[in-house]
Amino acid sequence: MSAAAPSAQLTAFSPRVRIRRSFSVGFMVAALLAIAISMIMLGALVVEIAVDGAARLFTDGTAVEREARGGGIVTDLPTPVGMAWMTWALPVAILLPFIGPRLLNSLVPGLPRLAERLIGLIVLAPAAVFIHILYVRFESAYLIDYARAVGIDGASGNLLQLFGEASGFQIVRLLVIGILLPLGILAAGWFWSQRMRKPSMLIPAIMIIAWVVYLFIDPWFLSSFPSRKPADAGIFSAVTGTLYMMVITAAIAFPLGVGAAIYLEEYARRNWFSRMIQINVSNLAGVPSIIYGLLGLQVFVRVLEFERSVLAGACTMALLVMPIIIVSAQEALRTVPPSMREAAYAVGATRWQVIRFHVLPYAFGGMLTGNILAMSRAIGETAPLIAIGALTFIAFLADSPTDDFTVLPIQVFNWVARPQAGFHEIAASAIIVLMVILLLMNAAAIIMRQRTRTDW
Amino acid sequence: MARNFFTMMKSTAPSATEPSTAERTVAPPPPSMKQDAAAGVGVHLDPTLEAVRHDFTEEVEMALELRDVSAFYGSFQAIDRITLPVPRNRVTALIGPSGCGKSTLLRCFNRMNDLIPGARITGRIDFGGRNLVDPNVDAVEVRRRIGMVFQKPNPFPKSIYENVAFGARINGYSGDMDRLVEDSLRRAALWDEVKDELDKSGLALSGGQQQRLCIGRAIAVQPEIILMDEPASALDPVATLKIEDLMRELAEDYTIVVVTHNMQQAGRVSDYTAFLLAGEERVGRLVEFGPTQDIFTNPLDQRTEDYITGRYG
Amino acid sequence: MAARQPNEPQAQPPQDTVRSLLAELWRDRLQPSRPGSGRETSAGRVIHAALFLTATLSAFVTIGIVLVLIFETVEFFREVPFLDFFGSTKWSALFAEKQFGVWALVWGTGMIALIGLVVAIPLGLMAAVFLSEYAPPRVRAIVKPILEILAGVPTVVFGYFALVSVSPVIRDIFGQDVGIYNALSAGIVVGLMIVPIIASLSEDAMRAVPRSLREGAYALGSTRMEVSLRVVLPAAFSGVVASIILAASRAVGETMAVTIAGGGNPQFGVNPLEAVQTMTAMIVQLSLGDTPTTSIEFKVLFAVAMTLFVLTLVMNIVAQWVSRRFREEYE
Repeated sequence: MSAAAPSAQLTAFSPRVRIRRSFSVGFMVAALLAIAISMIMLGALVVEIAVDGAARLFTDGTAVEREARGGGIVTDLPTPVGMAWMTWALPVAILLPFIGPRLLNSLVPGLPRLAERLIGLIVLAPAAVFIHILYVRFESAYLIDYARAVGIDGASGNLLQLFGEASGFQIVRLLVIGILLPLGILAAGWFWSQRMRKPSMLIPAIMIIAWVVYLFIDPWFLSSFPSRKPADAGIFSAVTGTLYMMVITAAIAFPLGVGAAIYLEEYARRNWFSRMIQINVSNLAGVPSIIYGLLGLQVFVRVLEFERSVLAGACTMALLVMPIIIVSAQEALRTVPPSMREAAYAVGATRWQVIRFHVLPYAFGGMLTGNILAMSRAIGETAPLIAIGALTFIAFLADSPTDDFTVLPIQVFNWVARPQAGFHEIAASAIIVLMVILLLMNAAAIIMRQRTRTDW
Repeated sequence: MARNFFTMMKSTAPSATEPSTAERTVAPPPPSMKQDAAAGVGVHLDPTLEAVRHDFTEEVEMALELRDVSAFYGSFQAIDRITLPVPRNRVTALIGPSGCGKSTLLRCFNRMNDLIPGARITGRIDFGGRNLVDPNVDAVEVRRRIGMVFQKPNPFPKSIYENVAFGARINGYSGDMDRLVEDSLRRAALWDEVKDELDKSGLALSGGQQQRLCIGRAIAVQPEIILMDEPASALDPVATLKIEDLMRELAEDYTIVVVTHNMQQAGRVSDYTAFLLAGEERVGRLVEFGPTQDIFTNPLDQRTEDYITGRYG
Repeated sequence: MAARQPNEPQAQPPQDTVRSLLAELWRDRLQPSRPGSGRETSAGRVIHAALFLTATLSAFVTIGIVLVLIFETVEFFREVPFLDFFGSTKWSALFAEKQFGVWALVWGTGMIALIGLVVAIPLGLMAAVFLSEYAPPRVRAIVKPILEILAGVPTVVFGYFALVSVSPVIRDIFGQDVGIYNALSAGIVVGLMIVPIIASLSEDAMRAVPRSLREGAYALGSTRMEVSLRVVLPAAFSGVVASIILAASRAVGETMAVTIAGGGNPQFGVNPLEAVQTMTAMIVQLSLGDTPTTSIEFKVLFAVAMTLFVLTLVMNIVAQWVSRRFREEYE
């Protein structure tokens, strides 16, 4: 072992560096290949679905056939409320959201931020309504033309009648575009007033793209009920059911999950109880979703007698996503610097005041992000809803939370499970709709995550 | 192997105070290089050559010879045209204030900077007649022959035995592994403390023991040079003393380059000392190199004296 | 709570309690009181209690699951002997001649999970190694979020993919005798589904390995592969194993893809080209039909669910235990 004769020692080491090097390169290639294979397989999934689904979602070859049968075409049309106001309403409606808050601030300087926003909203709300009416006007003109083109006469009635008697097609268009468009402009205006230029530009851009895409989509598919014939089937009840259930799920799960997180982070002492809850939450996150379905079946459907309703589904789903919301809300709370709490305590705030006015505002963005991610999990879950017995053939819209319902993934499952290729095609179309909703939610979560701090 | 750098210098530069002759040993840097910036530090002469002008009486072979070595991190230049010999079987200390590029320079010796995205080295480092910064030279082979010990002890989360055997294994060692482990640990002055518990995790040892384990781990691959990056800075005084004794012992068989903040340590353990200093723009340059005794008792450069006497902190 | 205030009468009608509570809420804002003393105002106590209840809700969910499962399972075992359930490999719950050998379902579940892991472990681990050790930061910044989005793709979508894309390819390879529903295609898509889980969690574990360990290995003359495989992977072992167990648990609990693509054929064979039925698929199958709640078919649902629950619970607990027990503590 003496370096006096280093060469003798060195012979014990085989000079394989080049071989090892090529091994290493080979390994890197293999790793790269692993990523590539995963990405290619998942890419194939996306392409497969896009190709299969687009055929049904975008062509209206079947529309001609349907029109020949006279099905689903609008007969009742709203009368324009009056044309004169439209000439000035348009510029006002577009400009007001952008200048409203600024104007307000310059008129009444030093308004508290919350009041400023509230009044801003009150000013903005009519703007949104203007745009909404404007849209209805546009839509009805379009419908009149459409109706005439297919030889149906009828241009009477009013706005309320439209909701009362129009087909699902109109309602979806009115709800989706007529409400989302003004809301988007509203949001854009708000972001603009907050000096966040990027989102204020991004939202109108997305709206315009969505609008263009929507023009090419076969409206029938989005606006009709399931059918025995693939060409006639649509996802109207599934989409509305999904939205309906999501709203209720979020309304239940968000407060409960955030409340539990606040308790665990801000109130609980580090004892056996909080440790047990913590372990329990992480274990609940790993319970297969179908088991939640059986829990929902016994507790909500049978014991509480919600029947196979939207409410039962939403409650089940809320329990399913609660662990996710709790964990992400806890993470958000942990990002609040302790110095902030101490500073608030130091000026004599109670615990709840510290939480309400200092901790929650800081962590709210993160909590909302977690909530959106949890909802995007819930939106794709099928198994628990099948277990509680959500139906797959729903030819009406749910009026109340106690009605039967169906959701998009169940509709997809139902169609995939059928042997006919036609149903597989519309399943792919429904998957596209589902994935677009999911992607939008994820994008929203990512944008939220980028600015997790809100300041009210 | 390495030319006898100092002997040559002695013959060409009989007077140590005659820098112009020393300049002839190396081609002058191309005019495109930052002469002005260099002048800001070196004032009157090429700083890299100005530094090496002590009178050596010792006949010593060179383990490494640096010529105009510069290192960059992206667009930031960390060290600028350092020319420096590293004598074989001696302890060479690199000293200087924080941020002067000592560690960067040390990491050039075994190409550790390759691992940092955007890092690159220019110049030459002669190692056994080859330029080890040449991209065609395999960094893996370089690191096998030039070992390194880090500032914080970093044993692998494996047993003590496996920690020592790891390097030898991956380098295809075919001899008696048990003997190699024992020899390496003995040389690292750790054998007596751990011989009964070789299966224990390396992380279970104390900080000083961990650092000696890391030294033993480095020895086990039979390197020619061992680089030490402030090996005792994270240790208590007793452990530090042990590491210093170890360095002196190892210097009989290995060439050791040690980066240290601690002036006394440099004085105690090293045979040669290089003093680096960063100028205004944070670019490290060599100020002075020579036998440790000369640097500490009779520095040629005012800045070295200022640093030695503690005026830089 | 408000009644404890000395200046208020002891007995109050309910409306007054509410009113005084509201008053307390206001007073709370006006007179912030004594944080140091550890006492809270009554409104604060109400909030505290409400938050406490939300936290205990998660415990009740667990208790609820266990009770619901146990209740019907006990009912089931009153009618069917224990050994008929756990001692047999024949399952035919929907036929006149009923047999409840749960091993047929466990076997199907295990086979699909195994195929899934065989697909997912190499892909996922290699992807994790690539992302953690090789990929430049910019590539990682793009690939990681994509992986996370993929982990959220609904499982019915994977079912569709298995049926429409994977099965035909398998039939092209192994001949048209192979059924469109088979364990292999279900297993492959389950594998694809859990690749993001393994890749993402393992990458987190590998990135947590301190840089100094990698440098130590490089300084001994290791190649990048040797650093990855012999230093980083062992050091991140606990996290990697935990990610695999969690992925396996997800594969076992996976429902829709295996229901769609696995075929509903409970059997105990080793051929992955045949249709099988998993526990989850069986639950879906029985749920889809209108099973009367008093029937044995309804009860066996819960016995199977109990088996599934215990299986996944054990896996999750083992995963947590592994990641705690074998974690190396670097200061």
